[in-house]
Amino acid sequence: MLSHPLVYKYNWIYFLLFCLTLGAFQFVALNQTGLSIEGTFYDSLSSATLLAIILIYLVITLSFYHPDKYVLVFVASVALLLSILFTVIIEMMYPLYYSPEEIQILGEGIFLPRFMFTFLLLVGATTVAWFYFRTKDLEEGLARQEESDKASKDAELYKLRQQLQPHFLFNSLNSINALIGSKPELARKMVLQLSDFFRGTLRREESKFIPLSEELEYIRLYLEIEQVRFGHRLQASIDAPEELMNIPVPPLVLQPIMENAIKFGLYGTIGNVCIKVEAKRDANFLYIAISNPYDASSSQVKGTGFGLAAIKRRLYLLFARNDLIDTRNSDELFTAYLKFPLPHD
Amino acid sequence: MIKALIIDDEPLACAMVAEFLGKHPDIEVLAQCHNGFDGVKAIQELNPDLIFLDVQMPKLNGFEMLELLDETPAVIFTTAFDEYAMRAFDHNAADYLLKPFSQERFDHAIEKYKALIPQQLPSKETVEKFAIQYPLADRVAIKNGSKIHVLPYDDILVIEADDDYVVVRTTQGAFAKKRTLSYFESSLPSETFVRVHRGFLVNIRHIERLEQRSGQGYEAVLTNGQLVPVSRTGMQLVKPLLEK
Repeated sequence: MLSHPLVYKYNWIYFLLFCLTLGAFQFVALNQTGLSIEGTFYDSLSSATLLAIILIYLVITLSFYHPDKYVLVFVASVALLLSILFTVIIEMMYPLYYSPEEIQILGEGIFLPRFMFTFLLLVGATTVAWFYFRTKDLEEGLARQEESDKASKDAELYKLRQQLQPHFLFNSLNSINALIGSKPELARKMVLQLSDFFRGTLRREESKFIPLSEELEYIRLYLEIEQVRFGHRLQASIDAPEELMNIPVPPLVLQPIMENAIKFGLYGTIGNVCIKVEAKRDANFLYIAISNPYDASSSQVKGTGFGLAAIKRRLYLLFARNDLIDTRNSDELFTAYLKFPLPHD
Repeated sequence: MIKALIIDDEPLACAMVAEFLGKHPDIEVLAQCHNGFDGVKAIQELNPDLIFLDVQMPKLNGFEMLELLDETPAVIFTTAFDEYAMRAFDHNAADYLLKPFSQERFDHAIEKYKALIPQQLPSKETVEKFAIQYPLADRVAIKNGSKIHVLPYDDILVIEADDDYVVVRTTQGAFAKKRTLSYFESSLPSETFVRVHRGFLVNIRHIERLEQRSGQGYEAVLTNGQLVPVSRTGMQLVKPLLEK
């Protein structure tokens, strides 16, 4: 909860002074009626104390509950109930400090003014407290809204940054920088490859299926760039029969798996790395297997958990099946097996 | 003559540094290495004054590589995207170059190296800290004679204190390393590695069960059958983690 207004800074002192002033006024007013000084003193003291308790109770209650409908009814009934309660309790306490004669006088004239005064005071207090907590609620809501806006913006930024793949980008630029001196034609070729790759990244939409040929082209592009960077360490074979090329596949499924196979292979081992992609089909499915060398004795390179779960989830959303991706690792090979249901026409 | 080594897993990146070094005839490139293992070996054999070191490399990253050395030469890091880590490491390196970099920037790094005060050599403590905290490393690298072992956290059963050394017992065997147990306790993930006893840091994934010993003590039975004493404080630490 927020810091309570009654204990905030010196507010409690002002509150105390307010109650004391009320008591003092009452003391002076009651004295005009010819009651004993002692009696009126105790009466004022107990009224002021009871009022203070009621006000504290009111503020605490309203801090938890302040409806946004039927506000007038709410304020009026709260004030009415509490002022009746107040007046009744105060009346019951008369015998403690007034003589029977004095109570007689009191019974004639004091009840109504006292009740009216308390009622008005409580209406005022309730209204102020209601406005106070209502405003605070709205402010909090605004802050929350801002926070969630910021979180979604951060997520968006994170996604963009992921798409940019800074490691890949800067290392590629570094390779180009090196090639400009020694092999300018290769440098030019790599600039074009890199542009094609990032253009592809930007164009990609999660929902639209693309022909297998396009996805494989994209993978090939990535491979070629990496091959410039890592030289003969990285080899690849893509084995996909021509007749499969027009089969539509969801984007952003094969590609991240491929990228991770490369990373995993290159950073998890120190020898040469051969990435194999094989595609085939039967009557119902298109099967694709992507494998990379893997060193069982070395730990998995972190970040190669590679949102396999996210890919699985995506496949589930697209095809409503959970068995479309499977991975196996033998001592030296890590393989991801994918199958895509073929469209029925 | 300044003796230098270039360590980077990308041949073109090595070539780039070599090309820029063409302008500095007082620096001689002794060798180019394409992974951390070769790097350690070359540094020990050739004893260079200066190394150009990439951070992200297969199996053994730049920091882990430095950690395995008894004596570290001056380092100029060359990296694509670790600016943040680099800045933190700054005072311990002669300089760091963000790829791609220009000849001018490169020359500046060489000047900085030449003006280097001895304090700017990588300090042991910083190297150790970075080796184990760099986000790619879920593993401990240990040099055993001329052999380097990279031990994934998951394979570590228990680390035992033994005078100036610790013994790291893994599924692949036992290895000694000149570190204190507290060093491992503070740098390994605390939800997995628990100091169950003054002299033992246990991987809780490898605890099969806890057994009451005669008297008041407990013992942990590890997956390889080894028994590890558990002190009363250790019991309080390990119990809630095992119940999870």
